[in-house]
Amino acid sequence: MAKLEQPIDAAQPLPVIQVVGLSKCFGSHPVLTDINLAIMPSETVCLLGPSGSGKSTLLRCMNWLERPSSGEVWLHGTQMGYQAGRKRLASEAELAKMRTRIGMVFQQFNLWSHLTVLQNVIEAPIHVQKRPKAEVVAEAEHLLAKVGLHNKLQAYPSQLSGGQKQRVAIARALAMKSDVILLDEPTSSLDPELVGEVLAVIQDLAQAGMTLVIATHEMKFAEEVASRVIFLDQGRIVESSDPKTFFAQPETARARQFLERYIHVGAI
Amino acid sequence: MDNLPYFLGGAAITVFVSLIAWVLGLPLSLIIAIARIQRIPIVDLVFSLYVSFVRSLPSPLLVMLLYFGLPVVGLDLNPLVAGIIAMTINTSAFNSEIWRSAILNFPSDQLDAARSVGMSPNQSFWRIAFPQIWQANISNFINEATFLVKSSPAVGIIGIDDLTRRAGKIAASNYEPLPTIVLGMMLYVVVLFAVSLASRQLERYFHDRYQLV
Repeated sequence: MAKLEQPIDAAQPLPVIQVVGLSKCFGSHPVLTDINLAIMPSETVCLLGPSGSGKSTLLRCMNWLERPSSGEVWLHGTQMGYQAGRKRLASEAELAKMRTRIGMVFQQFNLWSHLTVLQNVIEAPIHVQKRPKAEVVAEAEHLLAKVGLHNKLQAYPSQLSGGQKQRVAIARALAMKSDVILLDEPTSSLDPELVGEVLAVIQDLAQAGMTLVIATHEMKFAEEVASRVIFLDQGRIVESSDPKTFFAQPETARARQFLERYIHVGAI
Repeated sequence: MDNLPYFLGGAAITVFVSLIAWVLGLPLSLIIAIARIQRIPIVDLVFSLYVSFVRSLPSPLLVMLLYFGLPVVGLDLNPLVAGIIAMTINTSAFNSEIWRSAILNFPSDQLDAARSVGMSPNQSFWRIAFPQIWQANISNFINEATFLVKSSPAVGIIGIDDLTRRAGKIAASNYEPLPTIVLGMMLYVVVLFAVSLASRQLERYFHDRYQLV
């Protein structure tokens, strides 16, 4: 199943993440079928599609939180989930090391409740990456200031609003200095008036050249921020194009139908 | 009340036996819970039988089993050690079920986050799940401690002079069973009240701090 070499197009720079022929089944139910995509450095790729189309599962397969049923995920030339240059599955410890290169932001924030805002951000850089504490703390304070939470360093997650929690989660992912950040519907569980503050932070990251893959239902945001839009339906990539084309002239009937519903809902 | 120091000495023995058993039983029960959750072959089966067996056995019988049974296989224990081991075994079986359900019910989204930043399964358990689990369940563990104190008179059977045994001895010698027993009772109440007060304070402290699951 695992090939030893990444299928590279010599004319292109090396993708940050390349997904090759990836499929994922839960039991006998196929969630993703034959996904092929490459995320290039500094791209902001938005994954769009109806609920259940496989956006979250695709993100979770990219960092192997879900193990793909078949296919490959390449991260800057190393294959996720396999020992370097071999066909053998990586151990949990090796897999963990690979995951430090991919940040992730979850729909439900997933902050650690027993740690303060600052502790949530410095936990992995200190205890996983073993970086010096003083340096990590200084960086974390800087990151938290950047996401507007410099006055919440000592607060616990339970004392924060949803939007604040998500901004901490973004700072936590950034603190790992990973090559790419995957964001799984980062605003879907936020109150409408808190969505803006989180999207603004993500937009800043995109403009700063961070490589981002975002599963989202925020069409307007995707149109403005994405460098590329990937439309998924029933576990397959149906369209992949630049946002202007996708939103103005979607190629497929399925995408048109999907967008019409959103425009319709948006117009209410 | 010439007997008060004697009584208090008995209460001290009760507290001592219970406390040591509780402190030893907590990590032991955690090991049992983890082994069962990990489904380590054979170990899982052994511990599952152990838990069922110990939970269905009256404490006095467990105490006697250890004290009179172990010499048969060449292990002579003094009564205090045998008593403490028996109470440790007893409480470990109950606490392991508390650990087990707490670990199984720990929110998987926090563990997803731990995996996503590259924590190993060990790190995510010890650094993320464990600190929250013990704090969120402190009142359950202390509640189990109160049961432990109340079943500790079982050690009197092998001659350990705990509070209940001393109360019985005094009642038998001064022919005033009622005041003696009432005094003994009150000492248990004082001990257990202190325990439950501590439990409530700790629970409130952890809850106020960060509203654990």
